Amino acid sequence: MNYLMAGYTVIWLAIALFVWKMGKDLNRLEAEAARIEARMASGKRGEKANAGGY
Amino acid sequence: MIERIEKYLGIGATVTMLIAIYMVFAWVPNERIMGPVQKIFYFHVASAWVSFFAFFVVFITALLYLRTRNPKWDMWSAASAQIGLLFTSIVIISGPIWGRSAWGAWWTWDPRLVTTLILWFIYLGYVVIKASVIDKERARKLAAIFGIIGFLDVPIIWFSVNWWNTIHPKVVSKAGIAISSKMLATLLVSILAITLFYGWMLPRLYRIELLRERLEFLKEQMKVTVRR
Repeated sequence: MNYLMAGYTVIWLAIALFVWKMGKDLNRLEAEAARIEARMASGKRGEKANAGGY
Repeated sequence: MIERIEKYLGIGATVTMLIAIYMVFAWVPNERIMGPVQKIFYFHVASAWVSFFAFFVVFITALLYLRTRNPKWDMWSAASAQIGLLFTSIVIISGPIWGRSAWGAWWTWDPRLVTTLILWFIYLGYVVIKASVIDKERARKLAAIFGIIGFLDVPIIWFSVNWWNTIHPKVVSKAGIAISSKMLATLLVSILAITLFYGWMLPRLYRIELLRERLEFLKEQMKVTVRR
């Protein structure tokens, strides 16, 4: 029984860690892409405003 | 549409996983000789099946990448290889836990164990290439070649118990399936659960690959904007 529990603990731990890492990576990359896109969009708006000012 | 399919796959995987766990621990009887430890078999075999399937997807998408040079095939390939590596790792870890109880040894240099270990190393190589080769095109090409060659090991693993002398149990042979109907039902539900789980994870990992590419593109764009 101990070996059975050890086996299933390893299986579930491996799957849980993998899913946790996957979710973490997905959230981090989505946030980073949104942040860069927002920065680029504000940069473009700034460029247009500057061009209009001169 | 894809999000709805993903949602149903997630629900399906969770429900079948819970049913499989109930069947393994409460429904299916213990095997006469080995006792409770034999129950590792259900998720061990299901993990092996999903890893073979994942590497089959790698094989197909790698071929498609080499033919079309479209990076999306490489991204599907990379996503599937990661899941394949996860489940091969589970096979390699759960097998010896059963083996320690059944054979009295954590590891033997049995053909099936060795060929599975080779598969694990090949796909570890695949993931390392993707992560470490700086030239993107080169990394994709090398990984695709690795993915294709690696899959050739899968039929060798499958037939290893017939080709060589082995102590690994033979569940499927010419005589049919050597387990009771209750055991077979539990195995099939476990296989279904992990396959649905694969289907749920694959598009998420593909999205991660896609986002990595997008981020690199955006960072390059930022550099160009700053230089101007």
